[in-house]
Amino acid sequence: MATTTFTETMVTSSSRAVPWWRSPGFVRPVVLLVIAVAVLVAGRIFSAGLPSWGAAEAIVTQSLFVAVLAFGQGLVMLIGGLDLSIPGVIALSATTVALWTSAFKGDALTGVLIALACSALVGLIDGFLIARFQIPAFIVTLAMGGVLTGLTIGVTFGRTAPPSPAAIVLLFSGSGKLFGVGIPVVVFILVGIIGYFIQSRSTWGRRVYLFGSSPAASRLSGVPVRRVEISVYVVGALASGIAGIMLLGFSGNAQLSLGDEWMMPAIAAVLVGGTVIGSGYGFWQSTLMSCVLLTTITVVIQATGFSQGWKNVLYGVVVLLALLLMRRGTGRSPMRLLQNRIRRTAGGN
Amino acid sequence: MRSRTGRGLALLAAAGALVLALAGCSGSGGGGTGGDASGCVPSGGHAPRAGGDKYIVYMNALNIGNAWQEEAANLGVSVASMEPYSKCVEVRKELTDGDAQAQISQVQSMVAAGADAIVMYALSPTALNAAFRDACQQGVTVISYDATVTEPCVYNVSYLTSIPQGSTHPFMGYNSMTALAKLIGGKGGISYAHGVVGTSTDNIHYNSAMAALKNYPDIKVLTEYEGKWSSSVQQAESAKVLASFPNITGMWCAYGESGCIKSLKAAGKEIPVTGETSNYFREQLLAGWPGASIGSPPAQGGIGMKVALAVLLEGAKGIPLDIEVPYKIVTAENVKVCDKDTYTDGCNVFPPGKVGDEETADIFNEMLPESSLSASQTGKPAAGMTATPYTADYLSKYEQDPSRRYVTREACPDGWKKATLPEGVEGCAKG
Repeated sequence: MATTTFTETMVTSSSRAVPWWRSPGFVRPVVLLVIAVAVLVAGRIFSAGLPSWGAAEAIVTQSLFVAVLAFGQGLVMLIGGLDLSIPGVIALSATTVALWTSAFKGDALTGVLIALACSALVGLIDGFLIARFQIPAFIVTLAMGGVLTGLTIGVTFGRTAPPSPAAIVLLFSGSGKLFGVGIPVVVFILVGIIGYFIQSRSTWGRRVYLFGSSPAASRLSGVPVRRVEISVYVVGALASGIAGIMLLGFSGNAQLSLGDEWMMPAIAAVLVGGTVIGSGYGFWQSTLMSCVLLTTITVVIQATGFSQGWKNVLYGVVVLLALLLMRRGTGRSPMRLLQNRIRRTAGGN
Repeated sequence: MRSRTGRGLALLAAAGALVLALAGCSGSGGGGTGGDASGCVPSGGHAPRAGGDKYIVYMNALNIGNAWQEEAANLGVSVASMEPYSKCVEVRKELTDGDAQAQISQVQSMVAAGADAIVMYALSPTALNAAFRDACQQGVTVISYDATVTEPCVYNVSYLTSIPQGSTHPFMGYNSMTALAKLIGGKGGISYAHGVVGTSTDNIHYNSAMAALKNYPDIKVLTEYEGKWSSSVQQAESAKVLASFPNITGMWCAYGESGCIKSLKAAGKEIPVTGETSNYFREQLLAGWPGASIGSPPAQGGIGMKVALAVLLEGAKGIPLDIEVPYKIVTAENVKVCDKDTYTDGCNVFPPGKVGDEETADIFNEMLPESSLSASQTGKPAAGMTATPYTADYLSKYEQDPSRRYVTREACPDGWKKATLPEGVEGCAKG
């Protein structure tokens, strides 16, 4: 049973049977991008200032933070987990860099490396607990998030947020320009390319897909499953750590609440991008474009001028609609998914 | 009012009886360790509840990694550690991680631990009432600073209903919106950034700000958004606003206004902004950015503590239960650098780079000349600094006007009834 699902998934995700320009890995991100542009143009109804290059640049800048988080979250969700430690890791990594450069007068690069090492360690502990003791990922990561926030408060003594080094501000605040556009826009493109190669073109990426679609099958084919599972949490936490450093540059100082607002958009982006939790089915390029779409939607909703409550309602409704549409697009009804899941669970892992 | 006086008298009588009883005890024991020996216990006051020779006073703040809360708590702790208080008072800092529910149990354990006074940042105007009432009945003095509570036995020490210096109208929202309207010449499109939507403070700011806008019909609120009193949220949200409304002419921002300025800078715009008190914002005003800085002063933590100590050490007689903390409107015209780290009248911003973005020079207040930068950062008083205790006469100058009582107590004084104030907020009117 498990093998059947696995084969099905491999066929759709590697999509050898159809030409590349008709494969879901190409069609979906293009559709998402077209919708995003259409939404931005439709923003004209609410504000004469839309659409504009300035707006597009602001959208891509904010999409960058969501995208980096969604990359990590997407991998974790591919293998059936959920990472709720994102705000904690963001606070930890931003505070580490800021404290290192302000209180200890260290250089920014070393600070970044220390922060990334700490983030990776967090992912390692998460992954170990989840893989070794089979504790549900969302519980482990939720607890870890609490521990990290507590630690960060302890280290900073609840004092004022330490400031970001100037170089990181220049990179991510949008004030620095490269090729005539904000540096975050360039970074967004780089993140897109790097993410694609890691998730879809590397051996490690293929192993993650394989593990996500069927842990049993991947064990049979000689993949070191536990190591793969742990490594996904390490990469996920690293992504959060990188996002933390970017947000540090964006905000200019390492507040404890820096990451609070970014976890849910990242989860939404993964789902709207069409990744099916725990199925080994999903495309980084769709996730990337759904980050752009969701950010565009928030900008246009902002432009409606509705009161905050109605904006929240509208955003929720739009995300739900998007999710439903994506489900139809994959040809997988929620019912069929449920059946597949049950079958796989029955097959054991 | 009448019933409160009655209860106060009963409390006083009970406290008096307790003092007599304790005096008897210490007399029979032959020791001289009672509160009276140190001269700390006021006439008509009670000896320390825990029985030692010092009063136990709790200073509470929220542990949310927010500079404001830390400064307020540190100022409260530092002032209680100064002469002449230090010989009569033991101060304990208590932070709240959780919600109003957690605060209720904190209050109960403080009372059980022998608290004589509790200076609290109450997370809800009503949820803690029963716990506070119980504390009062056991002879504990309770102060709520910045955030107010409706329980009548609690002293409210807050800027919320004060008239800022140089204005004739109360309420921060009303004054900052008026300032913004003037800065943009009475016309154009603005954005309004809430704090945490649904809190009573945010409602008061919003209603009074909208009332101020009625005087400027040519100003349109293009959009409202929730900034959650966090500069990082404000920054992300205001960047979206700027993307949607490139023709925006002004921004009204709640606490976290540095986020508004940062997103404006990233977008290459310099338009008038009104926000609260962060040093980052005032540094921009210093550099000529058009704006007005007006908001909640963390000095309230120290002022709340001094009110508690006045009640405890001087007696409650004549001290008003509703105290309005004075505050100022800072603009590019009157922004002034603080050369010293101690209180100087009229200065309102630390030199650029000296403190963190979110810290504020509003640790200084005319009611808290004991304040210093180091005290706000560490909770230890500046070297050689002594405190000047409040007298009932001094505090009565800051008593809240009865017309604004409803805002903080959800009730009007006797002889007054509920009415909407000209600033768009529910208040009280005579008759």
